[in-house]
Order: sequence, then structure tokens, then C-alpha cells
Amino acid sequence: MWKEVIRRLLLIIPVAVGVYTVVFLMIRIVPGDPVLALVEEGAMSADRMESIRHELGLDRPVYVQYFDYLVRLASFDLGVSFNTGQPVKKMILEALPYSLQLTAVAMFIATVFGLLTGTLSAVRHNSWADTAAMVLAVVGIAAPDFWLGLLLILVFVLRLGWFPLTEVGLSWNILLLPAVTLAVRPMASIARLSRASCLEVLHECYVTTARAKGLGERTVVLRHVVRNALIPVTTIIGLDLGATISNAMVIEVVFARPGIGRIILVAIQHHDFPTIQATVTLSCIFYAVMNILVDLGYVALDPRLRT
Amino acid sequence: MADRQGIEQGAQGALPMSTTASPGQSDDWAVASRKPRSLTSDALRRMARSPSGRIGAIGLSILVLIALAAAWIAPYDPLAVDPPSAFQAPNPQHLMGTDQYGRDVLSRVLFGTRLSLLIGLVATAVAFSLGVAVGLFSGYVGAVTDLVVMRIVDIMIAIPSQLMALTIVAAMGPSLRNVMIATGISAVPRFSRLVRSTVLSAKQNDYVLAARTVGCTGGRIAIRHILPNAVGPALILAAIYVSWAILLAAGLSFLGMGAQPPTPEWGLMLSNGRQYLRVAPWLTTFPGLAIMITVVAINLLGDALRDAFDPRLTT
Repeated sequence: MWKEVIRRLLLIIPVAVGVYTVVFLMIRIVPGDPVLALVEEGAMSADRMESIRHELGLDRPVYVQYFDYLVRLASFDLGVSFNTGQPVKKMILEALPYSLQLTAVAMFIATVFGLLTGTLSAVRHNSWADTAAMVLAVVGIAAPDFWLGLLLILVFVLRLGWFPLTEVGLSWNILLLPAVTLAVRPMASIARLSRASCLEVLHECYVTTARAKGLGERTVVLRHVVRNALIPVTTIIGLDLGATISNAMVIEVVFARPGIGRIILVAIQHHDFPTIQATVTLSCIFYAVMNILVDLGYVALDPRLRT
Repeated sequence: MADRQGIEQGAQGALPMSTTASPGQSDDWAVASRKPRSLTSDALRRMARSPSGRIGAIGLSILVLIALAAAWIAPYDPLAVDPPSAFQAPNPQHLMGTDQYGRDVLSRVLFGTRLSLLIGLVATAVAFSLGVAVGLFSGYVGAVTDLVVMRIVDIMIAIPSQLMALTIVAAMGPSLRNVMIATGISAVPRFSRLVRSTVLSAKQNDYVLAARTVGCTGGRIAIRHILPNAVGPALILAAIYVSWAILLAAGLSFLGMGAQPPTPEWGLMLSNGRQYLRVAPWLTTFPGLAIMITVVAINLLGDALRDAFDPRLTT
């Protein structure tokens, strides 16, 4: 099994190179010139622009730029931002805790509450609670998360004043609203799927056997139903993770959190090549590693998969 | 299925069975005199029965009507600026209030329906056509081409879709048209993977071998024989994707990469309303509600469609 894990970790490398290539090509097709973007105040002489271009390494042939940055990525030298002049690595490391915290807590909330709701819905099939939960789930998947975030800000920050508005930091106070907003959509889809999955499992023979053995309903559900229903849900968690990572970007804008998403957005607006290349490539590597972890979770859940 | 029911009816005596003619002939007669029930009509019937499908269909019809009739039902011009009436809360003259320029929010929301439905359709059309083309080509040609194309598709799937769409829009320049294209392109990997797997299984069928034996060229086989059988799942994915496209595009517009002011696009209206959240919350409430209702309707319809074609639920 560990051989498989190592193999997949190694496979990330060609994928990362591929992603880097795709991003590199896409941002170079841009008609915008990064040097022109830096020149906002007043006119600059052609000589000055040339020297800036030379400093940034933009006057080299494209393939040289490609390989140079690729090699530097491999050695974790992420270059210097065109826009802010700061080393990209520093920018990313500063923003990383905020993004990781947000995504991790959001996925945790989504998984726990989604499973809870879905399982309860399945157990109380066709009751009022079930219908209400599923209606909420449909709404949760459909509602735009940035809109929900704005509504939550309106109610809890502006009208009730329970949470701070402009503070920045890693405390729970500041984390709660963005995390809940980000968690809504994955929670809704996990709830729907775990309900469907539990319903299927509830009809299985081993559940009837467990009940016949005399186990209480709660034990039956917890020990047999949920474990088995969890397997398709894990797939969805893996898929939702990717969506959550990109949704986190929008939520960070809504709640003004200084995370990776904001860095990517600003970089894109300013044609900041090194930052875009580094952040997008790293995000995809992160996503790929998370997927491997999810697959490991599969193996942990389902003993039949262990070789 | 038609055969079986035809024979059953014949066995029950509902249709006169000739005793002298050969069994094959009487079966043909029994079959030929029944109206054929295709898979599509069965699925449509099942969709009509499901409550969520009906809600979705009604909702979508209303939305399409609004989109088509926006110019006639909207009380004001969505772009008409009226500074004295700025920041009015919802009232009888302006049912959804006004924004900072005095523009009527209701009219803007109504016209926004047009844009959002258009975005959903165009993006899905782009994703569907490109995805089917790539999947069909890759799956049919096979061998090295297939390997190469699938590696590229895998790489594109490794990039989360919103990020991918954002990068594409950034490369093309912020505009509504580019958002539509970018949203479409970001879904091509998923479509092409799906089509490729159905093409691979369709290739195994005997009619492909027969066609080749008769002398059909590869292209002809691909388009006339494999394509009709392979598009089914892709069409269902397309129906479901329309709502995701609308959400994705609204998000991009919210970030400023999509529709530009003064277009009455819902995502852009949300971004605008964000600045005035404290004083004019109606600017964010209504456009977001509109997005949500649209996505719910299309989602319900898409889910009903998918369940209707699900072979496991076939009665």
C-alpha cells in the first residue's frame, strides 16, 4: 500500500510541471504588459522601461524564462513579485496560515454537520425533519456563497454586532463567519449524498442482522450504517475539496481575509507572473496531495481495499 | 422493451394471433401495431411525474418567460440613472428599491435574468461541444493520441475550476463574453472524460465492426454510429452544468472579472451592493435571491433528468 502512496506522490511531479506549463502559457498570451502595469504614474522613458524589463527578466526568450522559473520552483526559490517587489515565498508563507485555517475548518464543519444531517435524515426517512433538511440542502447548494457571506455579515456583524468587522487575525472570532459561509455548499452536498448512501445501506442484510442481534438502533446506525455509507461520501469530500479551495478565494475577498486567494487575485490583476505561477502551481500540488490523503481515507474505511 | 410487451399482449389474447402464420410473422404484427416507447419518452414521462422535476420545469419556464419579456415587464429602464431617487428602500414605486445611481433594482434583476440564462447556455454549449469533440476524437482514435490527450485532461482537472476559469478570463481580459468562454473551457476536461469513457464502451459494439466491414471510413463511423450513442450522459451532465456555469460566472463577475458596469448582471450587482451593505442591504439581497432561485430551478430539473435516465430506476 505504501508503494502505491509513494507512486502517487511521485506522479504529482509531472502533473505539477504540466500545471505550471499551462499557467505559464495562459498568462503569456495576455496582451497586457506587466511593465506597463507598473508604470501608472506619469510617463516613463523607453530606456527606463527597458531596464525594468531587464531586471524582471522579461527580455529573455520565452523558453529561457520557462525553464529558469521551473528550475527555481523546484528549488523553492519562488522569485520576486512584479507588483509588490517582495519575495513570493514570503508572501505565500504569510498568507498560508489564514487560508489553511479557513479551508480546514470549513471542510471539518461541512463533513461533521453534513454527515450528521444526512444520517439523521435517512434514519427519519420522509419525516418533516427529513424534508426540511433536504430542502435546505438544495438551497445550500444553489445559493452563491459570496451572497451568503454578505448576508451573514449584514445580520451578525452590522446589525447584531456579534463579530468584528475589520480585525485581522487567526482567532476563532474572526474565523467563524467565513468558515461557516464556506462550509455551506459542501455541507449541503455531503448531507444529500450521505442521506442517499445511508438509505441504501439501511436496506442491507447486515443491518437487519444487527437489529436481530438485539443491538440498539443507535449502535446499529453508528457502528454499521455510517461506516459503510461513508465510502461514497469520501469521494464527494475529495471533489468538494477542490471546489472549496477555489471558493475560499471569493470568501477571502468578501470577508477581507489576507489569504492566498487574495494574493492570486491581485497578482492576476497586475500581471504579476511569478506570483501567479507560484501560487497556482502550489495550489494544485496541495489539491493533489489532499486527494491522496482522501484516497488513504478510503483504504482506512474499507478493509476490503487493504492489500 | 417494446418487443417484450408486444409479445405479452399477444399472449394475453389482446391481439389476434394467427395460428397458421409463422411465429415470427405474428410477433412482428403484434409489435408493429403498438406505439413504440422509446427510452426518451419513458424518461420524459418519469420526469413529469417527479415533484422536484415539475417544480424545476415550472421555475425554469417562468425564468425563460421573464428573460424573453424583460423589456415589457420591467417598470423602468435598467440603465436609467435617476440621482434624486438614489438609495430608496423597497417601496411601491420601486419594488426592490434603488441603487446609488437611482436605478430601479427590480428592472435590473429582471434584465439580469437574460444575461444569466445566456451565460449558462453559452458556457454549457462551449463545454459540451468542445468536450464531446475532444472525448470522441481521443476515445475513437485511441493509442498514443488518447494517452497524450488524457494526460493533458488530467492536468487540467488538477486545477480547480474556478481558478482555471479565473486564469483564462485574466488571460483574455475581463468581459462578459470572455467569462462565458472561460466558464465553458473550464468544464471541457470533465465532459471529455465522460464522453471518452462512453465512446470506449460504444466502440466494442458489433455495429462498429459491421460498419467497418462494409467499408465505412473511420470518420463516418465515429460521427454516424458512435456519437449518437455516446452523447447521452454528456447531455445530462450539460443539463446539470448550466446551473454551475451560472454560479461560476456570477462569482467571476463579483470579483470584477466578468460583466463590467453598468451591465445589470447579478454577480456584478452583488459586488456593487457590497459597498453599501450597511445602508442599502436590498442591493445585495435581491440579486442573490435571483441567482439562488435560478440555480435551484435548473438543479431540480437537471436532477430529475438524471434520475429519469438512471438505468437502475427503470421500471
